[in-house]
Amino acid sequence: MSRLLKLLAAVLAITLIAASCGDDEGDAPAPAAPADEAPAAPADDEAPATTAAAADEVVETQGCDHTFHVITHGDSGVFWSVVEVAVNDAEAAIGCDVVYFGSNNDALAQSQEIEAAIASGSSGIAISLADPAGVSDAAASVVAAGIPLYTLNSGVNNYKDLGGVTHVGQTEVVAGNGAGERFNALGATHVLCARQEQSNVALEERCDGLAETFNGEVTSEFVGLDANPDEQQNGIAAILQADPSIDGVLGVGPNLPLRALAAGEQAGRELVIGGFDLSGDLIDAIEAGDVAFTVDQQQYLQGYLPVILMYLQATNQNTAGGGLPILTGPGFVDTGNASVVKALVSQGTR
Amino acid sequence: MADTTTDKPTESADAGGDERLAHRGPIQTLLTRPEIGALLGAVGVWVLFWLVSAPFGTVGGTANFLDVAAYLGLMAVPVALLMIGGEFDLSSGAMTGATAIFAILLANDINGAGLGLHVAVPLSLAFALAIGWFNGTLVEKTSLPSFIVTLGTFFMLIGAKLGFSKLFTNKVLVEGLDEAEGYDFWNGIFGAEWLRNGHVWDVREWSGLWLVRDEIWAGLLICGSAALLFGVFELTYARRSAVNIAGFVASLVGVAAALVGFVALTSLDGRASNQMFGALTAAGVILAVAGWCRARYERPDHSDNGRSAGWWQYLFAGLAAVGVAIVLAVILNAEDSSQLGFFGGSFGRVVFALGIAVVGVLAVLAALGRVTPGYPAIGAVLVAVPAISFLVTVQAARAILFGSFALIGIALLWSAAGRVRPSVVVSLGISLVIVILAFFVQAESASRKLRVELFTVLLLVALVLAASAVARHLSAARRSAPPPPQFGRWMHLCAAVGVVATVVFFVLEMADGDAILYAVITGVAKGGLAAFVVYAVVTAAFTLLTRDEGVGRALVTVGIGAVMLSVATRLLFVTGAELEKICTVGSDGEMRCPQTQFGVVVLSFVVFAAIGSWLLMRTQFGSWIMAVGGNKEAARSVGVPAARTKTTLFMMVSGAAWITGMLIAFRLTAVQADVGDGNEFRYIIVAVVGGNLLTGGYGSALGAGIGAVIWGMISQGIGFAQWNSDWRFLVLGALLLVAVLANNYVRGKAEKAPVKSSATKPDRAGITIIVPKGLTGSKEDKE
Amino acid sequence: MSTEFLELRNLSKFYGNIIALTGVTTTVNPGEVTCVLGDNGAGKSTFIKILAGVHQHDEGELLLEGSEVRFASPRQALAAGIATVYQDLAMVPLMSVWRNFFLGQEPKTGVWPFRQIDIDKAKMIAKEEMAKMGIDIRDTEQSVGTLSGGERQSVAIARASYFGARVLILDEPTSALGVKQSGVVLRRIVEARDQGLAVIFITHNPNHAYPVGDRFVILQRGQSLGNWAKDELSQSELTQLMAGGAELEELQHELAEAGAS
Repeated sequence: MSRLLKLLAAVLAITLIAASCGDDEGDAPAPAAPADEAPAAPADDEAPATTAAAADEVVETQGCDHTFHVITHGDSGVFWSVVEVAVNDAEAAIGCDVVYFGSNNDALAQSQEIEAAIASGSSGIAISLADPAGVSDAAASVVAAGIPLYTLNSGVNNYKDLGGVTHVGQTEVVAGNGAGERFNALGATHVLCARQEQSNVALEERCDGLAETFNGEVTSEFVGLDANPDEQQNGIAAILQADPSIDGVLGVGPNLPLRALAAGEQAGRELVIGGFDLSGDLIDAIEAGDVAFTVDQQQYLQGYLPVILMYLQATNQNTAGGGLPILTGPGFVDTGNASVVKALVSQGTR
Repeated sequence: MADTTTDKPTESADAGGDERLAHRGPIQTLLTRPEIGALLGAVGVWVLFWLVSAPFGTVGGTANFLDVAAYLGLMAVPVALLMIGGEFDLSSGAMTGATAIFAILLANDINGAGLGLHVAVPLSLAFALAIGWFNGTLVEKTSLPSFIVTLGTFFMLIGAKLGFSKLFTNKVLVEGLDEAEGYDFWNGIFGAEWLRNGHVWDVREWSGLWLVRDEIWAGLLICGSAALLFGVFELTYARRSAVNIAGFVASLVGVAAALVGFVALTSLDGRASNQMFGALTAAGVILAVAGWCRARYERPDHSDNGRSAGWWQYLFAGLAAVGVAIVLAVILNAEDSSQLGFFGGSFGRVVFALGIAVVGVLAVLAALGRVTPGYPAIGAVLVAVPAISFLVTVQAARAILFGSFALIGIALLWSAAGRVRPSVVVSLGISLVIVILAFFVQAESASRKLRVELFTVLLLVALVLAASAVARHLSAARRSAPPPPQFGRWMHLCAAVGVVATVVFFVLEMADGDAILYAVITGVAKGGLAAFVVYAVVTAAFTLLTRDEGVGRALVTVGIGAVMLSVATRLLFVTGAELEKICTVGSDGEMRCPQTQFGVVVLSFVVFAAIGSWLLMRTQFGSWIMAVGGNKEAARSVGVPAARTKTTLFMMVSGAAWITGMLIAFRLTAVQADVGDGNEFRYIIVAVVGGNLLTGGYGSALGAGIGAVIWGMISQGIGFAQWNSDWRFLVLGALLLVAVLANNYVRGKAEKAPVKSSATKPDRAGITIIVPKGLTGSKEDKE
Repeated sequence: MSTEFLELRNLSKFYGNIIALTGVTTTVNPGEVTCVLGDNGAGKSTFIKILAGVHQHDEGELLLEGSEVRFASPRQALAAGIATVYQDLAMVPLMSVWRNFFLGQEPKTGVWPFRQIDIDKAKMIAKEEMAKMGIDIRDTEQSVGTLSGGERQSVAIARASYFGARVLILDEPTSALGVKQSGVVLRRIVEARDQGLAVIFITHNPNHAYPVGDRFVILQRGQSLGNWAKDELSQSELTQLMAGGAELEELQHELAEAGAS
């Protein structure tokens, strides 16, 4: 009885593997399996209702013979979900298969996914290089396999060495610089640069960038993970109470400015608060004037542009950037444009 | 035939009793509790951060770390119970966020199902309990390790959180709780908070009684400490048959002197007056304690003092200590009296000298062996810590070090001469050193915190030490555990008063037009307070007026209760003067005050820790938890329903996760999909710090709560101390390790210390009668 | 011997065509210790299991106070007052003595939801019951894990007798113990007997059995060799019967010679 079941399971597994191999390799025989899958995938994308192209993509997918991969270290947070939406929108626009994978900060998983993409005969791979040491081997083999390599979000310092075409992202230091100038204009004298992760190079660079242009003093501290919002708020409050001279807080993520707001109330202090990235509540707070601004690195572009660039390189032999990175930010959201951006955020595209 | 074998045991059973073996005193009992290490660790961590950070010890700082601790502890308590039951729940962290997201998605009509909170909140509880039941049942039915099963639920929950968030909102942040129907009602429960600034208590007129916060606070603290001290005495020392009136009178005189001294000490402020009235207070307290001991307890047998364990050891150690003191005085013979500074140039020398000193003290104490480890060790740490951190001048350092070593030396020499038990002398000597240190700090320190607060704390510690040493010298230890208290009927009175007061206050609050929840909580609080007051009065009366031997435990309860009430008074109410001091006027001309607030989470945490402890230690269910965790098969064979017990535990964890989830949801109104992920390990770590065994079967719910407070203090204290957060985890890890090691060490010590199992000794005599000589056949039995 | 408390008449048990136990006849009376001796595989555990209600006998009669009984489950046996203390004791080592003593049947006080264990009473009873066994537990808060093997047996025996056992079956209580500890347990058996319990003492060691026993049943390969009262049998006879005679005689000679030289 059970042996029969096992046999059945084995047969099923082999069939599935065979089917998926056929799927990856092939378009020429146009088998039944991809045709079944094709309408299922875009069905998920109906909610954002981005472009009219969504309607015809079933037809176009059949016509495109390229598959592109976007493989990031992204997690399931507010930020990367926008990137994923952008990738899906770009997929709809170009009509080719685009595979998105977020490794949740696992360099090994990211490398393995890149190797898998190479093996499946990708026409272009875009990766984020949050952990250059961990992923660069896999990235080098992309170039060695003759597949165009793009980097996005992080990796501005490494893409050239690895042989990448260009980098799409914001350099964190420049973004930090922008925030520093804003704080100068708002008259702050001592800013706490609050981080939600430790040993994340990008977040450290934002704080370094802030310190470069800001005229006053900068204190940079880790205040607690996003998974523990109560700890973040109390952590900021503790630092505020310990140092009465702090009159500004830059949260280098979308949740921290809101925690800083509550912490300021808790400590009975008047603060200039800036943030990074966007969320609905953050924009509400900006609209209400409680938070001064937020630095938007416009990550939608980081998902959308690499796909388009890879598509153009594959179909039209274009290479963008001219050896320089393509910057997507910093853009700022403040009281001036908050209401406009708000509508876009609720669509999940900003 | 067999009759010969049976005579003896019956005899020993009759004559047996407890007389031949020492009774384990309350301190020793306390030291074998699983949470003792955590408790000491918590005190140590608090003192450390209190010394290095100004705002940490304030009410605002306390509220800050309590908030972090509460979110952790609320889960750690049931997780600890589950661990004692021998299982883990790895889904507990993800569960907290899952219930929050589940509720918001169900309630919200913009992106969710639009059911409203009146349906969504209970449904999310049902969902949580169902997952808990599923975990428990699966673990029981399949006998798979809970580690694997709950890892499965963990991943499923994470996936479901993310999947459903994206499905409904296309984002990972689920927002809009405050727009859901029924928000106001549920926010009144889960979002309620106690705003300290809203409760000003300068002078309160109440039925003709005139109550001032600070005096209530101090009064409760003093009375509570006194009750605690006498409760411990009562449990430790043997009653004498008739009260000694002279001792009683002396005790009253001492109390009066101490009161006069204390009032003068608080009302006057000058160095000479401080010293004079400080001495009067101390003398009064010591006299009161000595008189009380004479009046109430048996005299000890002093015949073998000091000499029994090799008097020459004390002689040698004493000479060595005096020698070290002289050497230290020479090393530290600095000409200048310049400021030392915390990391100043001569700091290294002080640390070096102190290192030698501490090692020396410990070595001597260890060599002696007979000195009770408790008081002298605590004393040594107390002397060393502030000396390292805050001695302001070289001269002060020299004086303290020289003084302490000389005193220890003299004390040991005195012991060698056979006058007094060494533990008593060492305790007295250390309390003297602490007094000297206290006055040095008071005279030399630049900071007010040290001058006033540290001074007071050190004096109190010295007084308690000295009092207990005096009591030990004057009283004979108990040989058997005291019987349970006899005032059972009076407990009914307390309960009746409590219930009536609860109802009355509830009606009064409702008449004032307050919300039901508020009225219930304040009603219960005030009713509980009334019952406690009656209980305290009854206990005091029984202590003074009857010969009931069972009052010790009641006194300890009253003491702990009074001290906790005193702390609560300070934490929950603000005075006008305090408000004036903490508020600032901002650039926009607005008055800004720190908003110290205690959310429902702190209340739930305290209630959970209390209920968890009670469940574990006092109820049948608690026994069953320990039994299924310790030896499941044995528990089953005597009729414990193991499956039901474990499933209930899993459901308790997920129920607590639901409460945590609701608290987070109503605090933020928007919840990110990864909230709570990864916290399951924190809960387990905190439980282990609190003395719970990873392997199950043993532990403490209260300990888990204390562990959470330690975690909260460390993670927030680093911010308060303005230490670089890059070192955060290093410090956190090191301190947690120290806490766990201390726990292990103390428990190991305490378990080794008491007399070995009594039963084996008398039995040895019987063995020779029964056991035949063996196979060689030398049988005088018969034929 | 008209109405015995518990009487076994030709009790037999077959597992399929294997004879596990046959022809066991003995009596068990309050204030008496009935020893069941046998080497490994002699049928001792089958014997216990029949009395404890785990298995049912196939032939013969089991009479409790004169009327025939047949226990369908351990619970029934327990209800009839037959308590079994197994070799691997049902104890939780990390729990205190009093908690172990009352595990599963805690005395309670107070009204629901404030119902809690009456700890003072539980401690007192545990202490008293242990004292009746002649064992002085100074502090019943002590964990069972710190007790010696013999003391643990004592706790189990005291527990069984407190919760209304009339017949106490002890399964090899001395086999895992050293000489001294065995002595402790043997004394507990005598204590239990003197309290009026009927004790069935299962062992393979005649030297342990003879001093405490009033009646002896010897099992060998599932067969009962007989049922003797104490005055019908000397210790050396018992030992010989038990070991199958000749081999042991030889051994005794050797040892006696060795002892003499």
